[in-house]
Amino acid sequence: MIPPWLRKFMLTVHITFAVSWIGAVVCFLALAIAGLTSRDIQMVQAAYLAMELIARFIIVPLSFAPLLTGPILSLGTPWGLFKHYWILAKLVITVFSTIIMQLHMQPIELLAAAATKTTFLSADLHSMQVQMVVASAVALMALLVEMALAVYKPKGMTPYGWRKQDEQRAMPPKDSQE
Amino acid sequence: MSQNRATPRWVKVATIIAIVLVVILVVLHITGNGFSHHGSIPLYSAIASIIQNGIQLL
Repeated sequence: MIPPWLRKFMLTVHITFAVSWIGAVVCFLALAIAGLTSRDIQMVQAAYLAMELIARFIIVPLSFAPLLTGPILSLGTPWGLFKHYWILAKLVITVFSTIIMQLHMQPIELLAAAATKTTFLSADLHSMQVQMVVASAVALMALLVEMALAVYKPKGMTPYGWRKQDEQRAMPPKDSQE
Repeated sequence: MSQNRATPRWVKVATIIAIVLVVILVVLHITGNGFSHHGSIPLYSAIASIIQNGIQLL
């Protein structure tokens, strides 16, 4: 178990990264909608350039950060990483979101490159523009689900969690061993 | 005291939703509608028109 001061520090870092990730995805979604719907070419160019910067320097690093702080926090406390379904669900969503984000980096870069080189975006890029809106909306929903899981902590232990609990109960108290 | 060790309902529902989403994702990917940048994509075009029409109405 990690000491309380370190647990609080890690929790602060974890919440900061997670909330920043949500904020960055909200900004990304707003820019993706602006890029898709605006008729002003300067607005469209600015939106896709900003989206690439946000994705490269904020969203991608922030998607990896909770993967580090989350397991440290859960493994350093009695909650564990695989004992409770809600923690397992958060881990799965984070891993899945990070993979999806990595897969969508190429379309973002292509859109940003196209926005700088052309005065209008061709119909070929239309599907990618929509893809950005859909992907960021899905990512936002996933992150909100994660936040709700962390707040509500729905009950339910995994078979591994029950086994560990049974093992701990079967062990005699430390005082009686002496 | 008896403990209910059955898998909670919310886990079952979430698992079903996740499986459905993954199947949709795989189908879109196989049919060329996901993660690629093709020219004409019916699903994305439909979503685009809904978004654009919705914003124009606002």
